[in-house]
Amino acid sequence: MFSANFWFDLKANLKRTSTWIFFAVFFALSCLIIAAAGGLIGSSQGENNELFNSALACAQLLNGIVNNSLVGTIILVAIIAPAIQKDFQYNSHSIYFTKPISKFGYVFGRFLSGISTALIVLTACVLAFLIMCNLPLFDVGKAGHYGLWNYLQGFVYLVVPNVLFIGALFFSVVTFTRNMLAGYIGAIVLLVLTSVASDLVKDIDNTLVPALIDPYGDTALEQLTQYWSAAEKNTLSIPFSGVLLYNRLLWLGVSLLLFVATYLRFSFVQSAPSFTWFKRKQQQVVLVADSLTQGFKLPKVASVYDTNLSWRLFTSLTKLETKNLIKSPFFIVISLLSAISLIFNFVYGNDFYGTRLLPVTYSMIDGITSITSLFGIMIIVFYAGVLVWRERDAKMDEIISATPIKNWVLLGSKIVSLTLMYAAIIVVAIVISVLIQLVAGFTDIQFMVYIQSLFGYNMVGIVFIVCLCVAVQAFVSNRYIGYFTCILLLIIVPLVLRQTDVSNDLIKFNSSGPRMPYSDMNGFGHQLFPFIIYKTYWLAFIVLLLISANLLWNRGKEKGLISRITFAKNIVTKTHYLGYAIALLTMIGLGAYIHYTTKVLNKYYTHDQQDELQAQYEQKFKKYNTLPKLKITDIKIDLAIYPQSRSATINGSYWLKNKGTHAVDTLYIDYNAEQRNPTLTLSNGNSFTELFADTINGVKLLKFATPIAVGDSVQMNFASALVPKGFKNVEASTKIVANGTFLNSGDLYPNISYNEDGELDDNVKRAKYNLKPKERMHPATDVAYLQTNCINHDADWVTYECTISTSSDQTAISPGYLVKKWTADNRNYFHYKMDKKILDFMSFQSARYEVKTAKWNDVTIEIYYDKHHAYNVDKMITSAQKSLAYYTQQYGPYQFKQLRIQEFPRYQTFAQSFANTIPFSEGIGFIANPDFSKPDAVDYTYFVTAHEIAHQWWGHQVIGASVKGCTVIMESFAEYSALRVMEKEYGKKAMRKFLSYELKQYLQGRAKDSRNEDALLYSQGQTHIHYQKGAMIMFGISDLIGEQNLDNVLKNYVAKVAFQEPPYTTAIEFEQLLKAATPDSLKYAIVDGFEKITLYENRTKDVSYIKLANGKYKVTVVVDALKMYANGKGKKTIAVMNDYIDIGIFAKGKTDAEPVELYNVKRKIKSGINTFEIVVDKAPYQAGIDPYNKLIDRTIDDNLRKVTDKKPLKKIDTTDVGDGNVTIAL
Amino acid sequence: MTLTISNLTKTYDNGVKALNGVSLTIPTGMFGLLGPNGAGKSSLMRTICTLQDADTGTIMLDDLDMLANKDEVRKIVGYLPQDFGFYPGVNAVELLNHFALLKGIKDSKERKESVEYLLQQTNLWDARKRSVSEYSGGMRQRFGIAQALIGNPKIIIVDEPTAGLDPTERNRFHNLLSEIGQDKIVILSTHIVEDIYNLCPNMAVMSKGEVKLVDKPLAAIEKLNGKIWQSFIDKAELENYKKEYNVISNRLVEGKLQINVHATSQPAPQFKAAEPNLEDVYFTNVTA
Repeated sequence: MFSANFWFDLKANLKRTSTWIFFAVFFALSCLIIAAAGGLIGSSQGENNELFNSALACAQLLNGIVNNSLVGTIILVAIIAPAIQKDFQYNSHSIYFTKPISKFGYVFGRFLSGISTALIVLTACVLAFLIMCNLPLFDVGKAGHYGLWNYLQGFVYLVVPNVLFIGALFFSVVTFTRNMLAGYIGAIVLLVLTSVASDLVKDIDNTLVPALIDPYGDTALEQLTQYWSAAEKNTLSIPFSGVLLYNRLLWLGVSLLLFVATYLRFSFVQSAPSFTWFKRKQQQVVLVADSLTQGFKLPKVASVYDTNLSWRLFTSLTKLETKNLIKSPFFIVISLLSAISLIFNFVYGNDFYGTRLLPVTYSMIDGITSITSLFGIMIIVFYAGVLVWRERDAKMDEIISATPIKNWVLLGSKIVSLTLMYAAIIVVAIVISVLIQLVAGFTDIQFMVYIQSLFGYNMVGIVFIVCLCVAVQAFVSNRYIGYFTCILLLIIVPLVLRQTDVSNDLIKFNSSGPRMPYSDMNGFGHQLFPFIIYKTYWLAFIVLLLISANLLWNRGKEKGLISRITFAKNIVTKTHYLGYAIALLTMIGLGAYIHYTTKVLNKYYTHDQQDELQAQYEQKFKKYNTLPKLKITDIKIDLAIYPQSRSATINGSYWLKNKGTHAVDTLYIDYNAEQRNPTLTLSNGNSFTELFADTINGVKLLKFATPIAVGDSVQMNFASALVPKGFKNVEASTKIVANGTFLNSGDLYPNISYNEDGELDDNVKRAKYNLKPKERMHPATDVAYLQTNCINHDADWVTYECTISTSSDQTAISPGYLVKKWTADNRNYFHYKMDKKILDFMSFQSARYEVKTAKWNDVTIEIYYDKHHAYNVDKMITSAQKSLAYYTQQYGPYQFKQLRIQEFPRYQTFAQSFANTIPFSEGIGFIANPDFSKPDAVDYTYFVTAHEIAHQWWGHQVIGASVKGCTVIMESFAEYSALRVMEKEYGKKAMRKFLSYELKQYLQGRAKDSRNEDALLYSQGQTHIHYQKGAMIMFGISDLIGEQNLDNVLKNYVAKVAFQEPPYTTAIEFEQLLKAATPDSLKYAIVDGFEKITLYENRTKDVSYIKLANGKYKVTVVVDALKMYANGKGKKTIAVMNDYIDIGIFAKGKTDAEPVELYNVKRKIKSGINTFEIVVDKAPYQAGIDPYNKLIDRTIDDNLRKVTDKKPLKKIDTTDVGDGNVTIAL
Repeated sequence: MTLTISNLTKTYDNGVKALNGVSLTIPTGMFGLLGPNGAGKSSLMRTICTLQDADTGTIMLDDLDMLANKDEVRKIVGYLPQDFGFYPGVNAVELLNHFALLKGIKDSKERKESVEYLLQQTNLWDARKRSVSEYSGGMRQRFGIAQALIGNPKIIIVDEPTAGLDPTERNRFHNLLSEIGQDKIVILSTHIVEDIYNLCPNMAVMSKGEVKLVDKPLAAIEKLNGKIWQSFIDKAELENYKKEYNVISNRLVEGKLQINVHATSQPAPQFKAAEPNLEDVYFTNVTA
């Protein structure tokens, strides 16, 4: 019975055209995706050690196509879910149910045939991968040569169980509701739920929960492989074990339960079980047929068909539709989901180092938009189909169509009611957000910002999407083709455009021009004008669509588009043509204007064009890098900032000195596009002639009338005006704004030498333009590069003086001390002057500031902040005071008399240290709100302030040569210094949290980095190495050799190299000082940390104890240790180990997270099994190796083990090879 | 008021000729369209109701070109399609009020009166607060009629309206139609011959997209006088009879097969003359 049912249904499925259309869709989609992954389509890809078609990569792509995509899920639902429902739909159920078939055979046969059909369809993906990867399409070294099993792994381990789960779930939903719609809605809800759930749990440290609750196994797979190096990704199979195995078993079990439940509840009955969301008491009306009607006379009425009636109808239809939408269970589910997401987002959301932001209005709005944009488009696409087809679904289309209602009334009411439903979801979200703000005790609620953001800027785009979807559904003759078209236009086309590097906003539907996030300092900025231009352009497009939709509205039984076009010819009027003409002209006019401002007045390049420009720059100008050069010795700036017109004029002068050994007769000038070809002149009677000028690359070569002799100087003046012209394609200019201007010297000064940083640095791309491969930085052995520092190649140390003016309500700030301040022509003028030489690296800011001043010894500390953001100013001051005190004591004196921190708008989120001046983004420290009740919260306002102040030493006193490892001197040391300041304030416990973050980020960073990894000493600007690994290594060494010893090395280093003229120091010089101060037995740690990529795999095998007669406890700890060295590609070799590593024993504390340390001593550990017997005073609770995670170890949760057995193991496991190192300690 | 249909032709995309040179003149009063399933009745009605275009031909209501002036037509027709439904979750009063508005009754008092009157007349008054989508088949049909009548249309087109109605309801409906048929054109399609006989002073028989007969029912029956012959035969002989005689219909009477044959004189001794009825008219035209 089962097999008859199964085979019959399977054959029927395979005969269906739709099955093979789905097959083709998956095949095409997979081909596209694999082509994009392999770089066949899209902008050219860079260097990557990972093969794009490894088993792991394919499995992830496959799961992405099938399960984590709306298209994939919907198709699965379409194939599997109707297995039984179709009998009801085609009314064949009464035939089937009266046949003597077994329930098991029927239900199971149908279910399995659905699943089999789906799996047959999905083999299209594997087939596409296999075929594509075996064709000679891809560049050598990008694709690996793999067999069938490579591509099948993901299918077997992920796709098959996932299809069973999705199948069982929706088979059940659809069988009971007997409504495919419920299945499709369910698919959307499931997709939203899984993405919300994975978002919510992604920061939870407990790794088991997120891995298990993801029904598709992605998270589990990600966890198992997150620290895999490129070599491992390329060669290993998918690890079908651990959390992935548990996850698969769990969800297979869930699928089985779902199926069994469906089976048990299913019965061969005629009617669907009644199921309503809100039970309503139904009134039974008994109808009695009465006798013949007498004297029936239709009431006389006056019928008026005018515009007023149309509006009445429009209002009443809109009300009807909106009521229907808002009463629908889906709306309620979506509203609840968004409310829950917002609350979870607030409670569990992390922003940075486990710290969340204050619930300022704009961060709540960001939350709302990220959540609603997730399912906003889906809702609109879906409901546009429901609404446009509502009359046909209800079978009242013929009745309505035969009434004199105007098409636009129907069309319009559907658009408005769908928009209203979306607005209702937003209103719910706003209410929840405001409640969250109030509950959190935050009262600075900006209602107008909510309204302006969500109902102003965002709603315009939403209305356009609604119009597009409704129009599409009005055009098509099949709702599902409509859905597909909408998804194609709204999701797939943008993806393809991005992949193919098409960046022109004119062809991206619903583009908004350059957007700026809301800033408390600068409000909505200057985005309104381009926004209106772009939206009007798209409005015209929408008008074109709507006129057509109005004409082609499906009215009656002419279903085909062609017949409807013929139909429409009868009703088209002059007004329609006029509408088309106006809309078309508007589009052309505004399109031309946008093109003019983005392409003619401004420039934009695709990635490939950008690459080409960079390649050209190198090919044309690199030869000038060998010319003898001058260096800047003095800088004087006169800068006028005009915040309202977002412009500035700069007049500057350089003194250029010939510090070389040859006379200099030419000057190479390099400037950026914003400077718009600065005017250059020479003082002191010298002059130059232009040998060539290249305005595209911003380069010119000048010849001095009188060459500059060795040791001589010349004064060069430069002037330029930074005036915005129109607007740019996508990117908003955020440097000069109405309130919160932030410029740096790179934006304003012309360079006087060839800029190597402007070269193309990706070797795959370099090869494409016939450029020799290069490393990102030069080795320390390249002595030429010891002559320049890594901040600015044009200067060593310079004198600096600046007059900066701004509007009368603002304060302008640049490094130096304020010498004079005055007002003239209703503008504020500030004159800053530095009394010491500094690096050629300056900031210029202007905003309406509040100021808070404090002192540390003789140093004045000033915080310039926006009036909304006084929250953390005191904390910054404390951090500044403690940092100055600690660094002065440990490393040497602070070189300035002032220290300033200035807020800037959150267009960028960082803090940056200039001489005595630290710009700090409003998006981070100013609104951070660490919740210290959470175990992993870090006070990063305090930390970032300390880090930036440390740069006054590491960077502004000690600067490395522009060679590999120079960021170690700047960033690793600053990070380490800040850690120490944190430790003084928050104790060792905070340090552990911090280090575990650093470890995780380093390991993730190295797994994600597509290029070769470098050892710390030779690092080339990789942030995960110089920040995270650098801090770990420095901290580990201080732990081994003693904090004071390390700090003494640092202090001596500062004393030796601070403010040095070239040749500049390197990290190698520091390492030598460090080695000299380290006992021989510990020197291995410096070599491992600085010169090698070292990874540990330490774990504790067994912990047991015996209570001794004296009341103490003898604990036996068995650990398994392993040290490995990785090469740049991640290939590991086992290292000989003779290291000092912490062995720790802990008693039970108040909570599991806070055990009490009983013993923690560095013990000598060799590779393999090491056994220790240690006597402690209290009953042990857990013990193990490296309990504070000081080493770089990819699995840290096996370092500690709870005491399980009171008896020690009689024998050590003999299968383990290793020299047991048994020591007894008391 | 006369509705004149001339030479109306419509071929569907799939090649089916739904209307093939249909010409009809329909005066005020009830007009019955009789024909088997697929005869083109619904296509014709939809074309009159502006829901479909014709390939060729015209439909004129006096001077009004109905194919060219769809908006005008929609103001004067009331239409009850064969297969229809209503928005879920909306009660009868609200929905009928909505239709009244659709028909242009702007005055809310007039609208209320019309709605209440029609709900009472269609015996839905007691069920007026219930959602129409939850009505039983008969109730829904009556509501359909109510919406077709609201706004006092000049032309009422009802496509198989009595399907699914019990005898009482059907009676009631016939009364209603005949009352309003006094000064309007009411086109009623059905395959129930009795309905036409009871109601329509004028009728047409359609088959395969063509008009086979236009007449008054009684006159059409009259013309068959003496031409219908009846006999009981053995079931096995039916095929033979069909070959030999113009068998227009067959039916079982008390388990025996009775056939009607159309012939100008007695075809064979076993045939007895039968009194013709409208059914014979229908079968004569459809089977021919």
